[in-house]
Amino acid sequence: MNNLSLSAKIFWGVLALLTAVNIIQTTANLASIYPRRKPVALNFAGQKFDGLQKLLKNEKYIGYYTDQNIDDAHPMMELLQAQYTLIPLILDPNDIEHRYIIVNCVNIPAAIEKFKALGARPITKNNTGLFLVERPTLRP
Amino acid sequence: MIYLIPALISFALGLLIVKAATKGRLPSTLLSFFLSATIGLGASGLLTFISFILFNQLIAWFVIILNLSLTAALAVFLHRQGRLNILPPIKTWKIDDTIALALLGLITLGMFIFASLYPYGGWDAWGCWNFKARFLFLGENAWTGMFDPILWRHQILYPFLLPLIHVWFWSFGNTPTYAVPMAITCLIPFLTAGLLYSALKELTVENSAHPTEWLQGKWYMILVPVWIFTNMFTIQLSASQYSDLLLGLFLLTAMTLFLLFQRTKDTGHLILMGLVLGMISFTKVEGTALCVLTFISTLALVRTRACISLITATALAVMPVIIFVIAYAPKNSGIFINGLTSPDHPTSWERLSTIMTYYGHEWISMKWSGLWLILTAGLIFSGKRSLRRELWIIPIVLGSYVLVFTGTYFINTFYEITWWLDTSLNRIIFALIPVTALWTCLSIDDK
Repeated sequence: MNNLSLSAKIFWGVLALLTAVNIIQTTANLASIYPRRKPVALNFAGQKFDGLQKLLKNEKYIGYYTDQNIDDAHPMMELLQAQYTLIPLILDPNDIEHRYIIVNCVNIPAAIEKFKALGARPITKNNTGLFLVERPTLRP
Repeated sequence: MIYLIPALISFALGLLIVKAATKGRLPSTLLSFFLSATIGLGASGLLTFISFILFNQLIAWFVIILNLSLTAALAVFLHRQGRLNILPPIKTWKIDDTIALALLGLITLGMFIFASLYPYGGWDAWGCWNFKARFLFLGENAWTGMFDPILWRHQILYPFLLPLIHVWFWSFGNTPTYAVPMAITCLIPFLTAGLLYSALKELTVENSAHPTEWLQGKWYMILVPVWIFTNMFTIQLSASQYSDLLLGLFLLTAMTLFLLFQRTKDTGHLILMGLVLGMISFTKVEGTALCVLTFISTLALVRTRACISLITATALAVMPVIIFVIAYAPKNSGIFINGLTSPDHPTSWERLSTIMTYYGHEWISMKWSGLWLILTAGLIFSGKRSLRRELWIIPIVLGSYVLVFTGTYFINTFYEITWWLDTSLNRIIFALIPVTALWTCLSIDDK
């Protein structure tokens, strides 16, 4: 390094210092979060939809209804993760005029109220306000 | 462990492509290794797309045979020319390269620890990239459903090389396991860091030192990738499984190959650069813009018959993106409003002012731990050396690219600008870090 110009020596010196700071900070960060935090895979919102695709093998589109504002971050995340999980089914959040609809409400009574209003019958449900419902009057 | 097989096939394919193109005049062992791994990964992704073009679905055995056949064909070609020696030139291997690899391995381990906390990656991983990968893998002949306008929230207009790379690896198993994107999101920064280090060493030092003269070369170049990839924010972005990682790697590869061409005048480097430009174009929409800008800039700078090599290789490698645009891409992405002509969503000078303010904030933001400030200071310290002719390609491409994405932010008024900048700007500039670091360090280290 002896033949470097002064400006280059300053540059590499600062870089070495910042690298050392980065290593210390990042090691401390990783050490502090790793033992405490469970992998997000264990609470990936999309997992609650897993399995529905097996019930709907012959469908291409199904409706998706939520009683939350879909442009807000959490409902949007649930929709995208549901879509990710249910591929190759296509969820249609704009239109519930489909034979099968996922009703994803904040609680069970709200979901029941909604699918009754739609004249639909539940096919399966979980305990978080998520129902897969069928409207027999609508043919695919 | 099964997923080591596609990794090895891709590496062998990349190494043979590099050897065939450069007529055996390989750069140093370490640089050859990282160039081969990068080009092999991209080539396997592009080959996977052929299955969808020919059969309208993934045929895993076809993709595997296609990769193996091309590898074998290149091996036969090189054997007939007496150039099949698979091993790169070991004599250029030095002990500081071993130390560097060990350090990069440690960084990757740290990244893997972080990535394992978010095995599904960030928002756009499951919202866009892995979404496309699952559609390609599970969709059978309905895979084009991923372009359905209903799915506009999933960036349906984007090309999909990273998802194809995931599908290539998944072809060796029977489920689209999240372990593959999680591992690849650590592999790409490893390749980027290694390529940056080896390119800096190659381009700043003559490889004439005796192997026993350890630590005599510009060993301190290892500081650059270690500094970049130990920043907590870059680790977070690296673990996110986004295509910006791949864009950064390919851009760095293309620039390195061009600098090697200028040094050696071996047109093989331009052939490889053309192939990499094709890969960039199929990575993201921004990549397509970068491909065009880099291609035009290179033609303008070279202006000799050597350009024919670049034109031919690029023409071949951009075929996938051309087929994608003609045959598959939706005509309307659903996420574009021309703010220059729209009476309902007009653009404004306030919008431009907001964009510039965000650029300033990113530049000094503490989340980067001074990364952009140091790179800028390095360029200022190096003065005219940063603009010497051999390095022109980098500021020209970077400058024109900044103009393009600034123009996009300004003209497309579909998104509310602060939300859009909050969610995308750091990723866009993240992809530019490796090549900016290459530019800065080549400038500062030139005597």
